[in-house]
Amino acid sequence: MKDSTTYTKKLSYVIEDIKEWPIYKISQDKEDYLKEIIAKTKEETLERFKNESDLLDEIKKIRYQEIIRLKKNPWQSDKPSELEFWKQKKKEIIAITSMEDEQERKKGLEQQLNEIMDLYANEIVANFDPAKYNIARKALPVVFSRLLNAFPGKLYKLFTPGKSLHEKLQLNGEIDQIRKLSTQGTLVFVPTHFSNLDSPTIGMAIDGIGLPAVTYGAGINLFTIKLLSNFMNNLGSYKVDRRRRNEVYLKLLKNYSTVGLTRGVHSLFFPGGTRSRSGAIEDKLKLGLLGTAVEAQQINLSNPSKEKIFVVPVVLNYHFVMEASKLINEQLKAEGKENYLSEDEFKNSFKILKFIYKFFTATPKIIISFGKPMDVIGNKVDNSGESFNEIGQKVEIEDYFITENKLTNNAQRNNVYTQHLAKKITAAFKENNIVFTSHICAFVAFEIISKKHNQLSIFELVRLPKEELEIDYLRFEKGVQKMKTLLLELKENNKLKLSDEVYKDAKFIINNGMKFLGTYHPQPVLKKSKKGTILISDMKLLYFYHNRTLGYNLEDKIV
Amino acid sequence: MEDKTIGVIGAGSFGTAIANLLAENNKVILFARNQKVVDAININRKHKKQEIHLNVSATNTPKEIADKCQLIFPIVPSSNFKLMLQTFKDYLTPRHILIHGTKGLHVEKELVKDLSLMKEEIYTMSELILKETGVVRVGCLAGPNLATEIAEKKLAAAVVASDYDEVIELGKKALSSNRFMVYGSNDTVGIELAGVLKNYIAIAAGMTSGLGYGDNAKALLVTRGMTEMIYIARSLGYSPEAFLGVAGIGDLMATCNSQLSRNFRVGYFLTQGKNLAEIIKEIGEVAEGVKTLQLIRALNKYGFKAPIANVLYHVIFEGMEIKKGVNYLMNINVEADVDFLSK
Repeated sequence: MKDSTTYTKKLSYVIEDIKEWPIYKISQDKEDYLKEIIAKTKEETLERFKNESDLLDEIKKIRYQEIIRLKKNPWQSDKPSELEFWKQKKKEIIAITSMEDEQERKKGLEQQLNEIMDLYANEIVANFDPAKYNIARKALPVVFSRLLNAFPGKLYKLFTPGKSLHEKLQLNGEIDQIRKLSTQGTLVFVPTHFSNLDSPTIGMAIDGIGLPAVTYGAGINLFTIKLLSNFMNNLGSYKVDRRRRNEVYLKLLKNYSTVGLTRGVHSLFFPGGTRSRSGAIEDKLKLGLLGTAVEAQQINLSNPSKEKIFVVPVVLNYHFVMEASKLINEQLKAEGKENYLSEDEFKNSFKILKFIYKFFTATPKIIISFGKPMDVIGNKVDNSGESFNEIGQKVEIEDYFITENKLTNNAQRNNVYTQHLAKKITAAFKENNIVFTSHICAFVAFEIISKKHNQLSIFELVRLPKEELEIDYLRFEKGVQKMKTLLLELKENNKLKLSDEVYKDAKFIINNGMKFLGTYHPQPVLKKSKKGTILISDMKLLYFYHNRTLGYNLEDKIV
Repeated sequence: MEDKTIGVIGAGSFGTAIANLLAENNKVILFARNQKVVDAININRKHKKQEIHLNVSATNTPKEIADKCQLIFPIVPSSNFKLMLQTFKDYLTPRHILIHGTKGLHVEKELVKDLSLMKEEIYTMSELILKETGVVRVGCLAGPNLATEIAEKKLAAAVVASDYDEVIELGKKALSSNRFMVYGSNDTVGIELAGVLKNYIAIAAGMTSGLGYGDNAKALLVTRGMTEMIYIARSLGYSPEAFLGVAGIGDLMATCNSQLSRNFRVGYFLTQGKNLAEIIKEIGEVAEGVKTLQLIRALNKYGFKAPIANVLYHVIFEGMEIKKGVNYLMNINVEADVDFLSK
């Protein structure tokens, strides 16, 4: 990145004393924190299910779904006592419905709701142990940097220090500003999501820029894997059980986030929801968790300190995604259908170790680019946290939440604001995306093939016979040259970022890009044949990596 | 800041009528650029042939209206809308809520010569507010609301459309009375388009009247006109729902039946042998419908079927004989009567 700050060294901590970190304080204050979350959730639930019969139906439904889930889709993370809990509930509910007195029944149902929320909240809640964090922050970078310097087959390098971690894990973007804002308000990091290793990677990156640890929701199945559980349980991540889909649970999860933000805990959401199946940068975001940032801002405004929430878009840039094959297959199989991380993908510690090892050993470099922080409306903010709207006026965040001179709580308005914020975030993803040489090669090769067979759908393209998957070298080089020119133009207009290698000539870009394009995969995605042509060995993977540079209207201009 | 004083920007007949309507429930400040108009309202208490309600006061200071009112209704012609916003933008904040009552579109390009217009370059008035000012909570007021009838306190209804429910609620609260019903909608741009596209159908209605065609012909025009409006909106990416309500069919019927509307008069005078230049001289300004026709022509590349608009364009701008145009329309291949409800 020729013209923006890239850090290759770890920065000093903005707050030295871990015991002063918000994430530690909230962990110390767990009881009170949970009380607030439960009270808020209860209020919303009783508002949502106003009639006694509606509330009863909801509780019955939850109980029924949970029993079915425990029997039909059990996970290792399930507590043995839970089945008993729900069985017991059945008897209690029957007892309540047979009560004569309406007030008694109401009290009974609320008690049931309380117990369910207690069960959920105590499962969700994160713990943060400074001692464990200290071990992790010292040990992980060492392990990772050794891994990053080792190459497959040259294991001995694991035990010798090489380049520092931060030379391979480069941190780029608005880092100074983010550090400044971290003490003036609460940060919400919203990264793109391609790989299961995104969370530890970004965790290291946030530590690398000297910020206090952030909290984030992780799949509950990760907490039971031996290797991870110790870290997962003590580094401030909270547990999300994606099998629980009932409204009470989802409200509780949202409020966990909202209340945490109002208490100043910096947070991390993957706003795309799950990993990008297609390999494209997310252009539609899940609004649920994102909405908690807007709600938290509104709540903060009614407190005297009026603390601001700052949203920081983050783009993770890799030459390859380990799970690419699996992801793109799922994408092609079920366009649009939601697929969550299946339990067996990360079944045991060995699989994980292998995964992490492969990831870091095969990775030439990872660049994390931090975008410009914004307020929850999507306005830019300056170093002191003041907001500026699109026409350059300084604006007060409070004004967005005031109606007829009063600060108002309006969920529908917050939803509209969240939609606007989501649009700003996806735009920022595009602007902070760093194009690598490998992305260029994938894009050009795929476009050449798809233009040649322009009547074929993507499903037919990925089934093209081998002899169709050959590209004339000169044609390829011309395409790469053309794309480079277009990319430089986009860069000039701040529409995206380029890695340093992209500034070199087309031949270099091709050699470098082909070398790193999906280095991890058993077969290189692109390779040169003996006669000098370019061969595509895996059309699906090519499509996946090609998609990374979608959204800049380059498709029709390359070939 | 005074509590709940409502602002109206633009003291034309409709703006004045809305100010009077609002004044039944609220204190109102009416903005007029011209000091004479301000005096007419504040001193003579009469303007645009309307008695001014006691709760209305006028000003020509943008800052005053922005300071005193959080809910403001801009009601100025689309050709002046951007300029108005630029005058006000330094005083407007995200605290303000704007519900406009202008049925027109904004484009920067000179449409007569330039046909390269893309749909992204067209702004409805609510979009223009978002683009030019720091206001985020915007809405629009649309429906069969002929200014003279509102001024005469005759019964009517309208739609307030906004992405924000609270904007709709505030609009309803401010405007509703037992002679004026207010519906709500979240389809802001759909409602705005319905109000705009009906304008050229009103020109055609003036023609049917001028040619002495009867009610059957007018009914045919209104129904096919609405279908055509829906085709255009659909090809620009909007759904037909808004066209079936008060702001769509409702507004279309009122405008096509009123002999007072500028659009209607343009059509009528054309059948009396006058050309566009003469008509503009007669009625004082270009009717919105004429601009709408130019816009539709520039958008033809989106491939919608709009035979009525095409014929009108030829008649007005290219000297096609009216009878020939009618003849053409009566002989086009007819397809299904209603084909816009299935998605």
